Amino acid sequence: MMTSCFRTTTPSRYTNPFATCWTRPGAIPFQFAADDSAAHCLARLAASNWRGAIVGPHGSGKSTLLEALRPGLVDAGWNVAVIALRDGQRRLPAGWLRSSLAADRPLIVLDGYEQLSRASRLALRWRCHRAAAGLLVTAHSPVDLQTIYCSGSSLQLSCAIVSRLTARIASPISAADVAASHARCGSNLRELLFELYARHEAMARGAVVESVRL
Amino acid sequence: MKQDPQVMLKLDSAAAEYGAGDRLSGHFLAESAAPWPVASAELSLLWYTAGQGEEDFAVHYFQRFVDEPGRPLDLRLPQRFAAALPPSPLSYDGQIVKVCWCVRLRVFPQQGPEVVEEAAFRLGQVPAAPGDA
Amino acid sequence: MAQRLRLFVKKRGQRRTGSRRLGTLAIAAIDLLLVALGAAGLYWLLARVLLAGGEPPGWIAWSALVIPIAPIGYGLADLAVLIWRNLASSERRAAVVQMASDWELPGISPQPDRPALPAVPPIDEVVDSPGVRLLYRLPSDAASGQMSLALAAVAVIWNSLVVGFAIEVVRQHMVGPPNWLLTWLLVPFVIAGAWTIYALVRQILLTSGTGATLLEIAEHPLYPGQRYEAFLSQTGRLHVRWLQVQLVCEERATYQQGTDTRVAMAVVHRQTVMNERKFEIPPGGAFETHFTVNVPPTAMHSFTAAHNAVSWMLVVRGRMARWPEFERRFPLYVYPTPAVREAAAGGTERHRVEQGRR
Repeated sequence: MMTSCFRTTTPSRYTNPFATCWTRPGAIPFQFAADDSAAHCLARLAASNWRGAIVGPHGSGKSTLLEALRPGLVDAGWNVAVIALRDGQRRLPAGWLRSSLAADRPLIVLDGYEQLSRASRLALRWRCHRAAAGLLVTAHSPVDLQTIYCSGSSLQLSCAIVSRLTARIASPISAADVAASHARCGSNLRELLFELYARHEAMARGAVVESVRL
Repeated sequence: MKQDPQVMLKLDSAAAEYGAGDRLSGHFLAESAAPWPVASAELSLLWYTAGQGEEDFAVHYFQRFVDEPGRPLDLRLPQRFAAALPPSPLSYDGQIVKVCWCVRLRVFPQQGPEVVEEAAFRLGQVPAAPGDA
Repeated sequence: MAQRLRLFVKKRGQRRTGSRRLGTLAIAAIDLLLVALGAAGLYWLLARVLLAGGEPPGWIAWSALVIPIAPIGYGLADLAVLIWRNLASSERRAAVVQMASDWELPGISPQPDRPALPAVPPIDEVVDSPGVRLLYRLPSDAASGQMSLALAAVAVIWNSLVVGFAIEVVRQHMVGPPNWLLTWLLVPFVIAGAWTIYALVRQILLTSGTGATLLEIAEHPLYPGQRYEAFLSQTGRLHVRWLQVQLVCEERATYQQGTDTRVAMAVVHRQTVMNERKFEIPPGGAFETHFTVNVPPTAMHSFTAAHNAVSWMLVVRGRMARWPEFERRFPLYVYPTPAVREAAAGGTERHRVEQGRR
């Protein structure tokens, strides 16, 4: 009868490279695809008269991309006003839009565009048009603005992020594991990283048991 | 080219495994050929969580070393510390919740950014949690 | 990281989108402005109103001092917190907070029976509940009761609104040309209202049909490697297909990112401690049995923090004839072994945050 064996490593944040301390927003800079960059995104936004949307599912890095684009927007001479809508927030705060549009050459950055009601979205676009203001939003699906970037995890991107994480902390996770998780999670990078966390844990525990059998 | 001093933090126990109530002791120092002016250093004995949740942490022991006019703080000399360990929480290597203990040292030089060093240790003998039950 | 000061910047979570130093200076400037405005208001109120001469003002007039004093107090307090946050490391701040929690206020006696076990949840809700057959009655997880209450609230509110609209529609049909658009729009709302009533009745029948579950235990808290006598009493319908009690250890981790909150759970220990199949519960009576709970010697003690927890519980699961499966959870508390606690208590230092001196 095989006796169970337990890991004896001292627990620490360095035992799993996919722990939330390593994957939380800001811990990983936004990873563009090989042929894309912040400059290309801004060029697409400029080509659509500085009105556009970043589209992607939950956990795909939309907010992180907004932060990556901000310096370029400021360098282009825009006064950037940013707001993020919380769940259930169907309208912009009273007076916020008016004060933001009063600035010289304003550009509105709205995280959570589709949470606005249809009427609020129409009003927002109309007022930005009247003020000659730019508008950059995030949404989970295509909206009534030009999509300038579809955030989401390609397999290549997922592998690049995993490589970055496992460069510091070793992991038995293989490229095949990443591919399998990507097939299940699709573009939800956050869920992919949570899944890889669980897989790393299972493999780390299984590896110890396997060595006991030998 | 001037090299930054290397800060070393070491526990007296090579195995870094302790029981509740044991006395944890160690020392830290900076390996530097030239004098390294330091404003202060802070040593904490703390636990934190890691895994799939937000990090929680609590400090069990805190000691501050300050550079004073009559007592300069020279980290090239070993600085000793010691503390008794509490009964809980014990170190725990769970599936999605890990309870981790460490000694954390923050050195605040007179010039330049702060330097942080950690030395992990295990409190108690709770084995790692198995796979999904 | 951006270095220039940017107006109208919304900080997202813990990430900083602008210069930390400039942001801190801006907050300090606002605090100083509040203090200055409060001081100016206080001077004006005292010099021009309250102490200006003539009839002495009443207490109501003096109470107006609250208005200028409030921004002074707020500004000074915020400034002090700002300075503290920027001068002290996170460990030093946590150490001071923990020292403050150890202080005993005059007139409030400490609780000597509460063991000094950091991050271990207290067992008050168990030890304050005496049992009939054994020493303690375990409180159940209130989930099913909360579900019934929630369904009742939804059913009442929703159907009240639907009834109001329905009355209006019926009135229009009776007195004049009916509004068919409103009539047809009402149909899905009526269907939804009927479903809430069905769900509520089902939940009530489920709760009452399966009867009450009582669990008692001889000792508390529990310790790794020990055995404990437990008692189960289950009322309900006549025929039971199966009934079991499991000792379960569950990890729980909460992660918040923006507006999303993700709660992960993992069961790391599950052990059946009582299992009965195909038996009858006498009408008006109850199924009663004693059983033993063995806490594994390698068990992690109960642990609780703001976002993470390790919890132990007894889970009663069963199935009555013609009723769906039910599950009820009874929290347990596993403490570090007594040897661990004695060793810690015998140490030269009581557990508190120490301030060492070089």
